[in-house]
Amino acid sequence: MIEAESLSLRYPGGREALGDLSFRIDAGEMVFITGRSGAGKSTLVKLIANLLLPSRGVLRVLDCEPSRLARRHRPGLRRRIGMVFQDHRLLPSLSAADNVALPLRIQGAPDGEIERRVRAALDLVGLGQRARALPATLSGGEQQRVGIARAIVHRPPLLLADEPTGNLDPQLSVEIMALFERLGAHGTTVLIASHDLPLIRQMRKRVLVLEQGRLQEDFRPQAEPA
Amino acid sequence: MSRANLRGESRLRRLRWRHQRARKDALLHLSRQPAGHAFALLLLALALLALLLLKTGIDQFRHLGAPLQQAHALSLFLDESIDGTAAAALREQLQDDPRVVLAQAISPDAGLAELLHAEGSEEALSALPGNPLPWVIVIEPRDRDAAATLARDWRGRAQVSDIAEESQWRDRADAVVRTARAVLTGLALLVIGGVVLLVANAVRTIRVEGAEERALQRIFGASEADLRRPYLYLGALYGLIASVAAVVLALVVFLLLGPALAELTAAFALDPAGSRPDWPWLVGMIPAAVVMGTAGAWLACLFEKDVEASA
Ligand SMILES: Nc1ncnc2c1ncn2[C@@H]1O[C@H](COP(=O)(O)OP(=O)(O)OP(=O)(O)O)[C@@H](O)[C@H]1O
Ligand SMILES: [Mg+2]
Repeated sequence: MIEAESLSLRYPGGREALGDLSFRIDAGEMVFITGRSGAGKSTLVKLIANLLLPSRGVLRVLDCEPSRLARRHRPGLRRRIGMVFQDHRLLPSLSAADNVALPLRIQGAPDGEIERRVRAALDLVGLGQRARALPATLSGGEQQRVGIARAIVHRPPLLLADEPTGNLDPQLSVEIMALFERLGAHGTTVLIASHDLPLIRQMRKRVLVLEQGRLQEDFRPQAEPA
Repeated sequence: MSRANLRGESRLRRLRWRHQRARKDALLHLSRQPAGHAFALLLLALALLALLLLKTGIDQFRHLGAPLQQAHALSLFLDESIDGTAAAALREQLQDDPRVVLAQAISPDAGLAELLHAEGSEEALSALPGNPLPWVIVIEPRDRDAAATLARDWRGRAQVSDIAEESQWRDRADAVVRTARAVLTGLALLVIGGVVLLVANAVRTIRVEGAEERALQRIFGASEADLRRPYLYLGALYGLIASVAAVVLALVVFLLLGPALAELTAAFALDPAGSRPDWPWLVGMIPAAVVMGTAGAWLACLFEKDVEASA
């Protein structure tokens, strides 16, 4: 599903944000990436989302090697990835439903299908009633949930989330994590960058710990108590 | 039916949907700030109208140039010893030459009368004893080459004292007409370039507000072609609306100025067609403007990078 070998990334003119990462994530796994601020969590997520290309090393995502992918095939890979941003990145002029519809529109889905799937996705994040609301009239947590609905509306095999619970209260955070877990159970690979350690601990999932761009630890939980 | 075939069909269907949506987006853009668009569209329409007028000008110069292309009259001044019968025989001989369209014999009297009508020559001629003019045969050759070979053939013959070729000043007039046409054509090309840039600028302005949306669309897998499409339709729509407006304006111009233009063209021996609307051109202007608008929009979409540069 995701495979990194000696993966490095240096921002143009900047220092090395990621160095020599090697790991492997299987389909259906739910994995947290954690580390201090500036450790490279967001950078790794962007690499996997095919928004950045590695400077060195090999990265394979969904059986593709982005750095070897022809430019015109890049969008095709991105369409199979759902993405949640810390700052939501909702379009302020569009209703919640229209924001959620974005990935389906890009894929050229027919209107009826879009309507159906958008409603289902909003219901899933508990915002079925706010479909027509503009982002500015939603609370931070609601906006984040709209962003999550947008990331899963096209049922991508890979879901990436960069600090998805930054704006949520602990109760909602747990609910969202439960939702991610359910998606994982249906075969979606879920990768979450977060520094919410209590939440991560509570989830008992695999954790990649980054420290200054290096993989400090690949922690796998013990088999869950029966 | 194979699975690949099915997939291909659905891909085609989705592409059609994308085009439909892009057209809707373009209309949405246009309806959002009609006043802002109206200004740019009016400017475009005026530029296209200027293009139509330039085209009429080019046609007029072509019309002026046409007779000059053909006629390269030769005047054979016959020897003084040649009388009317000999001149008539020569004229007939020349008329039978396949290179000659028309040969006319002009008697000394006729030549004198013509000269006397020309201002200023009266005094000089009246001072002369008798009529000093020879018989002259004026030839209209078939073309420029015919004029040249005829002049070569007849120069130096005993019956001919001199040959005047009028092709020289005609060549000059020709060059003037050609230059004028080239200048007008150049101007027309400039206007076309201006139209394309005008659309490019209008589309670029509209695109500024959509930058964040496009960045997001790229992240979710929109291709550059997907992102360009609504703007290409917008550019095409710009061309369509502006050219229809330009055609209407042109018809109004012809309606109002038609009679005056007809007089003008008659007075200056211009092409009378220049005073009437040239339908194929008016109608052809519309698809041409659609192409120009699309090209302008495409230009406006060129300089935006994929997300990874701005990650
Ligand atoms: N576009 C960029 N250009 C240059 N350097 C960058 C860029 N983006 C991030 N960096 C640098 O790369 C390093 C890793 O950044 P990254 O955003 O991946 O950290 P992070 O782990 O997500 O931090 P946080 O928890 O604060 O979000 C940082 O040192 C940062 O300054
Ligand atoms: Mg970050």
